[in-house]
Amino acid sequence: MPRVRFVVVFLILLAVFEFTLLIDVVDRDVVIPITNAIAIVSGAVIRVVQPGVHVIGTTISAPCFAVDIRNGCNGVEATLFVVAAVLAFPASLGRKLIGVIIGTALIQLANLVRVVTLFLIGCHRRSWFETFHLAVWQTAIFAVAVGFFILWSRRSVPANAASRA
Amino acid sequence: MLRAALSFIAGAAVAVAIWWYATPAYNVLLSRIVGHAEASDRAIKVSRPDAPQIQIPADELTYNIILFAGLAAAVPPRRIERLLAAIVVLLGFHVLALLAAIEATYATRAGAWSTAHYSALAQDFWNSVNFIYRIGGMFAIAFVCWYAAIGARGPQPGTSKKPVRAGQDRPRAAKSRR
Repeated sequence: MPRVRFVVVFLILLAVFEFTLLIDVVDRDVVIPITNAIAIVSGAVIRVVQPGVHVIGTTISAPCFAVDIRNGCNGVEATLFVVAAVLAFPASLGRKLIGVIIGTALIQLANLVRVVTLFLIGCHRRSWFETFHLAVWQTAIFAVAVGFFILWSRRSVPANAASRA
Repeated sequence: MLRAALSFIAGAAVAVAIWWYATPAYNVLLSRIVGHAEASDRAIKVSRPDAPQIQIPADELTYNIILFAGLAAAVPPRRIERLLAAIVVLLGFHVLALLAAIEATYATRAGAWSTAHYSALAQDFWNSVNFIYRIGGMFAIAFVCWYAAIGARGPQPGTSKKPVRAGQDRPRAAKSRR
């Protein structure tokens, strides 16, 4: 039953978290500022290897290519996935806090790599962009999320759990 | 851990190739299941009676199979029937996702026809369902299908990571029972 409870709580939390992304005020005051920050950091990294990069709001542009970072590409959805999984798993509050912080940082780091590589792919191999944008990187980001959760959960089992299993 | 990561990459790479090349044929199957639809390479065209024709990018609804394949390659289910059942559930959700995407498109992207046939509440509902599936729900479904298929090999709420050797005591567990 703990497995079923984990799955049910995880799915409910994820649905609630994702639903909040649809609320205008959340999008305007939380998601877009986060996405702007991601665009600024990504633009700074891309400038190291690609000249002429400009960032305006959530758009990164250069003479060779431009991307507009939106929901689905800002790592927020994978972050919410990790947060929902960590909160649904029966661990101590401290462990959950550590899981949320490290998981969020890890997802955003992976997302930074995604945005930078997608931009460079768009610049230099335009025909590859859609496949990498959807199938490869979206899967990779969620693979990082699942991988992190598995590693975290193995280290976060309650000490007295065996007696309850 | 390295072995699992490499297995994941290998499984996902194979699945990317399968997803890429099998999508047109898979779309034919999906379009027959949902009805009033016709596969058009990586998309599905829907022509309901008395409604405008719409096009759904169906390949964007099905690529969670890549995450599932990667996870199943990294930590494979021990029982083949569990794996098959998980795949059937995953494919079942593709049908549901396509139906939701069709409703969301009719409800919000068919201009005046949408507002004439869908209430504001219905528009918000179908848009929300479609958004939640595409933004992260599809990966959550892939994860849960894999998690259910592997049974006791996955993260175990309420069990210990380390196996207990015969005769080894668990002081804190024993304390909690008192």
